[in-house]
Amino acid sequence: MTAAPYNYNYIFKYIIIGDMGVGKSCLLHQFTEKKFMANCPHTIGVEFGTRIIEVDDKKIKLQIWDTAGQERFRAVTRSYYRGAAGALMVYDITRRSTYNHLSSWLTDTRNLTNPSTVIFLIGNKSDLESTREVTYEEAKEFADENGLMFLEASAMTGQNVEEAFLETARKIYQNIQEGRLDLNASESGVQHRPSQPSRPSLSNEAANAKDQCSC
Amino acid sequence: MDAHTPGYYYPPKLRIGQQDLKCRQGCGFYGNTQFDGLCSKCFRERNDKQRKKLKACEDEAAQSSGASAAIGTVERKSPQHLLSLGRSKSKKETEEARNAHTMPKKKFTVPAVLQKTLKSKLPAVAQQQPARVPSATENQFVLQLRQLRIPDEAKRKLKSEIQHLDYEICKYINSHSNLNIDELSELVQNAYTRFADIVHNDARFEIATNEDRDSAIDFFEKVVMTQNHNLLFSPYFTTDEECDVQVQKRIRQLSWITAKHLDCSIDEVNAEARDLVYNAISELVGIDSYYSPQEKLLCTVRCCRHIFELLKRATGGPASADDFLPALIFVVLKANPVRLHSNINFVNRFTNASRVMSGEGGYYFTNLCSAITFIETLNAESLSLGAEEFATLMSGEQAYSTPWESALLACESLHLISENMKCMEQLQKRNSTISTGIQDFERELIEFQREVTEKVDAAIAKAPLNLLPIKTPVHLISQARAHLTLEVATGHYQTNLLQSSLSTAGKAKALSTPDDSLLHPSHTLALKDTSINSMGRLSPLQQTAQQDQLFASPIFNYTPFDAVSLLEDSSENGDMPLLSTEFQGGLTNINYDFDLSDQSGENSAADESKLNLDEFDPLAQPNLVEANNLELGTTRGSLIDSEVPVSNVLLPSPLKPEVTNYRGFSNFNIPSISCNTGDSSSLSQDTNEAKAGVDSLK
Repeated sequence: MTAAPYNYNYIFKYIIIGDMGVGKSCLLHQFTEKKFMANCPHTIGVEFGTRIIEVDDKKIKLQIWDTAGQERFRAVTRSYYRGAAGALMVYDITRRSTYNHLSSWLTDTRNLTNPSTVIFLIGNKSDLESTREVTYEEAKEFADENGLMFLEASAMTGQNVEEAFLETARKIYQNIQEGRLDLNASESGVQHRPSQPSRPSLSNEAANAKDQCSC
Repeated sequence: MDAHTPGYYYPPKLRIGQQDLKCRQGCGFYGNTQFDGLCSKCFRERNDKQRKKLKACEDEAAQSSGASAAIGTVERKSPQHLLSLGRSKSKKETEEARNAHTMPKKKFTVPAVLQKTLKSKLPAVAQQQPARVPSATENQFVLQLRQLRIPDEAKRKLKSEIQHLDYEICKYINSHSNLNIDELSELVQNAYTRFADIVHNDARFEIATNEDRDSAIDFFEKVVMTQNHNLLFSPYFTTDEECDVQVQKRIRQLSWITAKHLDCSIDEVNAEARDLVYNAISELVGIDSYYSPQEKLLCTVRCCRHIFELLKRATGGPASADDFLPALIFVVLKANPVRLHSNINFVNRFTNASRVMSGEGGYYFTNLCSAITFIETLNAESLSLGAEEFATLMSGEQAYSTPWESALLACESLHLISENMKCMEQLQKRNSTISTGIQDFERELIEFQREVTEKVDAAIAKAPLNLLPIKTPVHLISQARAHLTLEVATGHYQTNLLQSSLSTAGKAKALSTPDDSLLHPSHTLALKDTSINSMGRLSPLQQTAQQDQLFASPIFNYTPFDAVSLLEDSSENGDMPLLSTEFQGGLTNINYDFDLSDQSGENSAADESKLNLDEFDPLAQPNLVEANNLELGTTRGSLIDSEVPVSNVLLPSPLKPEVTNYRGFSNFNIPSISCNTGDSSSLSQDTNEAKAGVDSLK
């Protein structure tokens, strides 16, 4: 039997949260399709929000769950958080209200994810400098206080978008290396897939691995 | 109840494949549910066999029906046996009652069913019971098992694991007095984990690829879930069924909700959008028709893809989750799928946990769960409605007709009305855009006009147009006269005239001798003129102003013959040797003589020559041109460009030919000739100057 190794070693689940209209979907789209939402035939529809990246020579498949940001859906979208390895919390630098809601988003995230979940704060629309309402310093301070990683990005220009996603992945990978993340727990949001199936030593970690292709 | 009694216990399927209709025996004839999915022939054969066995089985049947207490001791094939017993128990007597419908005698039925349940679902066991008829689902599983690319030992292991889990589930349901669905769920989840462990670590699976291992795990889950669907789906010891009814009621109450309430971009009256919504709805409803969680998830995925497609078309770009969730809620509300809660719970409890937490299926399933939670908990606030309005709508006091409802009710006319209303709205919108566009355009036009006028005024103010009266300096007149007298000597013009008069050989010419014509040019011309009167439009009666003569010159009105050749002519040859002299002469006369024809008889040549000189003194031209520099810019430009020597300005005036001296004038350049031959370049110069003269006259 020919061993067809997976083209990735890990699967990380991300969620993107934040108020409506802060550009969550645009960031996701920018990252997975590498372009701003301009007449692209498919977004989540086909291979919904996934992209394979490389960290430390390990191929990692990022699976990104976009969420609805409307206030009225807040209560019902809790189940999205289950098993997320990374959470990207997005606000719009041109709308202070979206920044003000961050603390409630953060509370949700902390409550509904496991402690090792990496939370990354993104100030989107950094290209609209002229209408900025939230300064970089202010947000940076908030991020530092709460132990979040922080970047200002622009889904429009693509500036810092890659960085935000990759940094999160690096941090998660680091957590795995340091043993802070239990790969066997389905809530960890990480699935390990041995790239060489013949090696039983790796297979231990793969006990939890499930087939993703059936979807 | 499950795979081995398909005739009675299959939940209704949305799609029935051709093979499902065929006899399960595989004889090619169509089967009948009345005959247990067999064709009449196979059914009869089987019945005969069973009847023969009946006696032998009776003991066993009696034993097994009373054996529920002594289960633990049975070996190899007992799990199945037990299982079936447990199931028949859990379903109480309904099963037998149903059997009674299809089977003629109850007494006969019970053993038959039991006998069947004795046969294993899996081929390994089934082979031991040749009389058994495998169900279509079972056959499918057997086929799939064969297709799995794992070693045979691994397949055997897989089989035994499946049987083991079957047994476990059965045991749990039968042995516990107070059943807890969460415990059962845990049991199944643990079994999944264990099996995954086996698949990844067991030596028998060692050579399998990861994909094959995954498909083995999938297969495991699928088989167990399908087989135990009846036990695990909406079990009697849970409140799933009540929840189903509640949700269904709730959704029915919320039937007045439109896409607008949910802020989603579904165009309810657009036919294309409606089709997609229908597709999504049928997928959503179809979830209930599948057994395994995987298939249910797949169904959810298909449903959600339709919604994404819909949103993509509605918004003209990729949809976001902000749009997606409301749309999904809308679809769920309009679909009102049966056994919604049971299905959700079934998947949540009994599918591999990671399946609902990651992957596309998990994502959409999570969305679906959120949508249902939203529907269950929604209130006036979440729909941005007033509390009172919400209450009246919920209680049904306030009728709320929506385009979607009307479409669903198949009330064509109502639907048509809403569609037309929408159409009218669009038309109105378009109409208003057009009228505003018209207004804008009008405004622009006025503005443009104003601007143009302004500019023109400004330009005029800057450079006013002053037509100065012609002034001929006195000293120039004398000069011109001197020049003209000088030219008489050359006599060129005269000879032309002579020649022409000779060669034309008109009746008039015959009379006049060369001398005559030489001496009385005016007379000759007059004669000639009469002969050429046939040209019509150059009426000899045209004796009014000189400008008339200038402009009405026949050649001015005719298109040039050949501009290029004529240009060459005029530039190269002053004397026009290319043209026959006869022609030259003749045409020269045509041009300039008409008025003379009338006047020449009466007026003396001297008078006229004087008059001509005053008015058309070519030497006045340069001044004139300068004076009119601004106004005649272009004209002047052309004059200069043509590089016509200044002497060209000295055109033979229409009246000139009378002056005998004039012959020699065109020594250098013969404008009269070129005029006659239609030379446009020289002509235009002539005209320009003539015009200038006229202008100045005015």
